[in-house]
Amino acid sequence: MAKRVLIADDEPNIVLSLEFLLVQAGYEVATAATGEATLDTARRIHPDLILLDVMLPRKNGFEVCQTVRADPQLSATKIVMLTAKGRSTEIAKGLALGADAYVTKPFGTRELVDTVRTLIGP
Amino acid sequence: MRAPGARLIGVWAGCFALSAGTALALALALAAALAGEERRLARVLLESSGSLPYLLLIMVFAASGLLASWLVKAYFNPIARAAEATAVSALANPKHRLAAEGPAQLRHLIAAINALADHHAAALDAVDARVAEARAALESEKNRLAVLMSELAQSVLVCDPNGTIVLYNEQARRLFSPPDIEKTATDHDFSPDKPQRTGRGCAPDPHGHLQDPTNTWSVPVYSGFIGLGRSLYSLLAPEPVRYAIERLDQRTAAGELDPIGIFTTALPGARLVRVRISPMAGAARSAAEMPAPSGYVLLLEDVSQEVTGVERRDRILIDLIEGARAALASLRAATENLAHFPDMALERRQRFVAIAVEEAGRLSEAVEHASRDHADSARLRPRALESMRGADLVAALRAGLASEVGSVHADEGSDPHIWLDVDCHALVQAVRYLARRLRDEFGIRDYTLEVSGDAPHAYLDLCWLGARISAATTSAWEDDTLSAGGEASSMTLRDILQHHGAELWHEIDRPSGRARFRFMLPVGARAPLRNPSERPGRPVFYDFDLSSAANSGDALDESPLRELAYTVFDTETTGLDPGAGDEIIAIGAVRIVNARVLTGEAFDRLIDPRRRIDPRSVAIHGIGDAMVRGQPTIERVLPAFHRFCTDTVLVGHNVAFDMRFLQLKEDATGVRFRQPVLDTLLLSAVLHDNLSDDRLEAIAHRFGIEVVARHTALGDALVTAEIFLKMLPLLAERGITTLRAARAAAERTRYAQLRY
Repeated sequence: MAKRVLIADDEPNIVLSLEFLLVQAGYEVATAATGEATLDTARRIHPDLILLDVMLPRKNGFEVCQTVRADPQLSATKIVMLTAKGRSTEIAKGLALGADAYVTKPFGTRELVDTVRTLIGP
Repeated sequence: MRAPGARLIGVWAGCFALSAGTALALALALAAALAGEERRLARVLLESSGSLPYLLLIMVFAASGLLASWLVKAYFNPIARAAEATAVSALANPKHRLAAEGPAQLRHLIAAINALADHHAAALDAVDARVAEARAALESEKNRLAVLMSELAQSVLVCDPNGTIVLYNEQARRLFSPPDIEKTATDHDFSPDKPQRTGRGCAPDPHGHLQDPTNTWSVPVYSGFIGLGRSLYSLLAPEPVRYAIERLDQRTAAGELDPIGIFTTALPGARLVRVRISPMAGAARSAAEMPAPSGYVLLLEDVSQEVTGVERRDRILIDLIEGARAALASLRAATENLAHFPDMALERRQRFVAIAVEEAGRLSEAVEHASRDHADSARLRPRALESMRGADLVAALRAGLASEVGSVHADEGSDPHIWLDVDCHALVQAVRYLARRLRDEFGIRDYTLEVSGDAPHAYLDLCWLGARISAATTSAWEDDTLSAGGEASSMTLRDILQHHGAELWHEIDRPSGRARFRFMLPVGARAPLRNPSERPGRPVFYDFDLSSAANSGDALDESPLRELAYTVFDTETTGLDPGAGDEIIAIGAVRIVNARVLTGEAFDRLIDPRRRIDPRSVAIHGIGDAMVRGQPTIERVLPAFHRFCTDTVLVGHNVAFDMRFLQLKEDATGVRFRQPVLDTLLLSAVLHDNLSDDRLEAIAHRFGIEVVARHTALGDALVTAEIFLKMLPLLAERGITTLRAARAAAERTRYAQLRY
């Protein structure tokens, strides 16, 4: 069975590219455009990994990350945070709040797929 | 010293007693020498002319009066005058010579004294020449310093450990240019908090109350006047200054080399100044001990424009970076998909091409937008953060929190070697704000503070046991201004975090089960420590005669006259009768600090009296109606003058006249002049009751003072100030060295004048 990845970002252009990319890499993909939608979808489909943008409307990525980490149902879910800020303190905050990896925009698509693959396998 | 009238009576009595006594003795001797028959004959003679003895007595009385008058005129008065003139020559004006008068012997004595005075003057000149020579090198260094100071773009202020200003440059004067005359002192009172007597640099005032606004010896109130001898705390809010000084002293004590404190504070008119304060090396009491600072150097910069500018540029930069990153991410992903998957369906390919075009356009727009916004902005300046030891930060936080919450512990395990780049004051406010909200909303009262971490980050943790805080609450607290937690700040927690490049979150520490707020801060550069063998010597330019003793209100009366600060002033008026509606039309004043006239810190204002000026007065001072029309009125000038006089003794010539005018304006202006007052007219009488001319010009001439701009308020104030300084050694010669003694002596003279 294919591994499930949830893409949480409010910019449709990046979502489209990521969706295509991960489908090509053999993953099953779902998307969400707000923080709340991300949590709802995650609780429904129990993704193996969430690509989580920090600047989400209605609950930002940090809050979503903390909530997911506090939910025992989602303890197996890996979180890769995506951010357009990229200050080192922010990255450290994301990791402190339980993210498994942190990717700064813009990123190489191959590196991103590699990161996902390292965390949850093909 | 007795008055001439009393002297005449005394001498007269002496002469009379002497002649009457001589006559009586003669009569008794005669009576004893006469034999029986002759004695009888004499008695008959006496009895037959009964009034003769009385007549004789009156004649003796009159003769002794004439004798006394002659003696006083010829001998006593010239001798007294000569004595006083000798004192003037010896102590005040070496060029002053005695007038030849009196009998030949006295003229010889006066000639001898004058010859001695010539020698004395010549010797003084020689000494002066040598002193001048020795000082020349020093002066040129001082001049170089002065040039350097005036060339500095920054404002420089130097104060002694008590906050008394001992040096400032032109830029500082401009920064603190006198406030608008419309402003009254109450416009901008720095709410004077309770005085903190701990540590160096507390305000010189021991009472620390400000109930009575007319009490000029209270806590420094913002005056807006910069000046030597004035308090720093009358220019800058005391709290951040004291805080910075306490921190500097701690850091110096910890052996840090050249610590600098930085803070930003507000001035009237919505201006912000950034202050860099550093201690001046003092003399070490022993080799092992760090010298206590002999004062502090403050560099000030008006950053009002800069702060808004920096905030705007930060915004531009952040918008650009974040906007560009997002657009680039979309663009890159789309183009990489196109490149890496050449076989994708045509429809999908067209979609990715469209995304690439759209995102490339967004990117260009973002860059264009930023470059437009940035075009008129200057370069970014480094943030005003100071490097601080983690342990010191914890100590500062504990001190800042202790009174607010139940208990604050420092974690034993804190790493003592961590240094942080922080704005300590702001961070204390931020942590106190969090602690107060935790206390008020979650009832948490006991905290532990801990500093830990590793380069490039350090953690400051505010830990407690119990309540967990939701992410939403944390987020809301970040966006509130600190005033929601009772802090005097309009900044939000987020502002402070952004300023530090810091992040904050709430979490549970798994091993200990403690809840905590974790500040993540950039690690600072460790400040270099002082190597005792390389302790710098006294700076070459260190030549500031810092006053060491601060005068409190009670001690003022006992203060040495030479150490007090004075405002010497004069007024010009429409006429001579304030009771009949005459008004002040000019006030001129200069300050004396450390027995030096500060001509650069003058007060010189014309005032519109809103009435005609008496032509007889115009003839004296030359100020006509046209000159004062449209000038500020007394209600606006007097409060400014009152601020100018803060913490000084008032001095004037025949000052009772001026004070009467000031006092009649108390109700109209709301300011009262309750400072101690000294009158050079009365002091002159104390010194010279034999040199009867007490007019300002006569005294100035006697002291060898050049009179310029006589009968302008400022000119007369200047002359009065010079006279007052010349009087100080003469008063000291009479044992009058304190304010109390000077006032008492003047009072006695006033009564003396009233009686005669």
